[in-house]
Amino acid sequence: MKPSLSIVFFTVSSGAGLGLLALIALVDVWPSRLLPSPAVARGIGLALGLIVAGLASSALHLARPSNAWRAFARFRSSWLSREAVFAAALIVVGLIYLALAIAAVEDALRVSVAVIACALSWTVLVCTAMIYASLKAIRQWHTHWTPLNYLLLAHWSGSVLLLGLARLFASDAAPFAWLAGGIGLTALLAKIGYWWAMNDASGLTLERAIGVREGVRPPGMTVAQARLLDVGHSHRTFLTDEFGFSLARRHATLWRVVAIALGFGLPAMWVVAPAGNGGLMFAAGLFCIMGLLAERWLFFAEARHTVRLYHGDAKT
Amino acid sequence: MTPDGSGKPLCGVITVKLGLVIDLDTCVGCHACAVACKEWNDGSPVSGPLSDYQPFGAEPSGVWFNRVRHYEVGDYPASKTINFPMSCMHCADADCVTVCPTGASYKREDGIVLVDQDKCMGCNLCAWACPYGARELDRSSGTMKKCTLCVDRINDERLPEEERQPACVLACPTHARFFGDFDDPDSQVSRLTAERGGFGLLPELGFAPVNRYLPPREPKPLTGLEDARSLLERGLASLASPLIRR
Amino acid sequence: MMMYHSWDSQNAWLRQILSRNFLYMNRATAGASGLADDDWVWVESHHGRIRCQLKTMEGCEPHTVWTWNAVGRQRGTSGLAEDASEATAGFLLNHLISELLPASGARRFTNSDPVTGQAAWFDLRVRVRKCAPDETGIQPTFSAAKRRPDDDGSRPDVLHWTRGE
Repeated sequence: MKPSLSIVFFTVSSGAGLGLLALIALVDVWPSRLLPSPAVARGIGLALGLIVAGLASSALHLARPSNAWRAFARFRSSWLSREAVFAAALIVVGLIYLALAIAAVEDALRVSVAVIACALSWTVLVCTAMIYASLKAIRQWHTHWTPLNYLLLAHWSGSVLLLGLARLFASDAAPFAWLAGGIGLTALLAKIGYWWAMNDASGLTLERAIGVREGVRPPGMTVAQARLLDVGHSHRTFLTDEFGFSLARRHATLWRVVAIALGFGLPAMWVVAPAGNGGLMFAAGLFCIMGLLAERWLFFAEARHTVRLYHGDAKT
Repeated sequence: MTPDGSGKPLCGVITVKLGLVIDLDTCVGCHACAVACKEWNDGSPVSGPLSDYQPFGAEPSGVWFNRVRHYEVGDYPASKTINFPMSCMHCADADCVTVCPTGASYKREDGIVLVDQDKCMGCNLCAWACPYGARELDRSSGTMKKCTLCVDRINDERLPEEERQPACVLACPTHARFFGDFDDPDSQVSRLTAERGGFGLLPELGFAPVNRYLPPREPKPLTGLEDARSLLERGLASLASPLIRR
Repeated sequence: MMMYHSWDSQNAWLRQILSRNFLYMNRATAGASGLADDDWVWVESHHGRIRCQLKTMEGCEPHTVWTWNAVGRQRGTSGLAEDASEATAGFLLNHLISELLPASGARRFTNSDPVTGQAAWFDLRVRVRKCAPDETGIQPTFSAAKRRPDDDGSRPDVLHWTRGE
């Protein structure tokens, strides 16, 4: 799949914002107050900023954005429509939550709004992940690993940002470091698990795609290898632009190293460090997001759409 | 049904499942179906223009509903060339419709999958969902375009009945394409599928594609040189005898 | 079976299907000669030589090479932009083929099929060899054709058709 930069940025930015918002809401409703209200308000503001920036970026992907408002229409069947509906609801709830936190309201209303914000954040994350996981035509996306990875990565980047807030504002940042460390380790293991699972040989083949088994083969033979003779167009098409993107194996390895080093390695050093100043926090969050941008870019680049078989790929 | 593809049901009780049969035995890969498709549908009220980019430049490309690819199966000398036209399979369980957030993509009661050009926001998700490459984004209109099974031909009563078929079917010089109702077991497409072992592409993906492909026929074995010679002699004799008798 | 479309006009749709050609060779023959898909090759006959790009295939007699002829164009012809792939990658076999058969006695015969008169290109023996790594691009090439006086050289970026009633 061609990595669509607007979508890559959207999933990382909104993911971090949604993860941060969900975690902040959880921390906020925790019986013992871990974060003071001003820190919570700043966190909600940062989360909403990331979410809105991501959503704005996703609109750049549309070829006819003037019809974007219609995306709310198919809530009952389309994960993208569900994402749009829940994201819109989340922005409204998030703004109310932000207002309550700024006003330092401490009552049942704030707790209920926090719970709704957390639930909506998770719902939007699931919807976004399911947009990819529901596509049966893309083997590397149509797997349980897709939502698992996306939810964990969103919470990992969110927890790094939350730890920054805690180091600045909380009296005890240690629980936040443990939280981030735990999520980060799980997210890394899940990502490695995904790469390991994608190595298996179970893909569709060109022979399968054109029906060699059903009789599309030389007379008298039962099995035969198929090859593309001519794709039927001399230059690129929408299909080759969109699905023809290929990544050399050594480049994939390099990208994976970059994704892990930036996305996990550098932020983890900061997580385990006993303390850190604001500049370091900024750097850790930035590295994490850059690493996850590489990870999302790879998620697209390594996905092989079924139509590539008809363009001559031996297997998906 | 209206020629603009408004999606009104064709009939109340009888179910209809319209689609194509493509005979890989007789297809010669001439692309006439693909060109005739573009000729009929380009600028149609259903789809609007099928834009062409750099038409006379270095990298000509454009929007097509139907593309013909060419494969070779097996190694020389036991190899076979397969010409493989592909357009929308009008899947019974069409994921392109399921994933569409705007409702632009829809499936009619006669089985035809269409895109409402006024509603599409060009998010590409339906193209991602389709394993057959049947959908192409028009960069000029910003909307997704696809095979309409010539919905503005097949029910147009102003046309002679034999012309109420998709343009690709009418254009095919080797009669390798057939159009009809797969829900009717007596239709030509149903009978051909049953007789020739017609198959749908990649059923394991679960989209229940409607279009059927007929595999190449096994050639009849030659009955030997002696038979061929006697056949030739008999043929010559039958040709010559009327002349001689005269 | 798709080439005949593009003859004469280089129609805006037909040239999307085929706007450049390759020299086709049996895959095993190519492999035995150290040739592979997309290699640039010299094709030499008694009459001349061309440089073009190779594609291998199964359905080709092992000692025969072929191409869709009539794709190659001189730059600036057929109403195409000067960087059209017909001119930059397409090639013609004509440069390999003599109009006349080798002399036998005083008379020269045209190199054509004795029954139909069709140009007889099927019996030309050629040598195919791999180009040096720095030898890429078609040969021979010619300077661009002079534009018609009414042609300002502009070509549309996009074509839209609308159906008339």
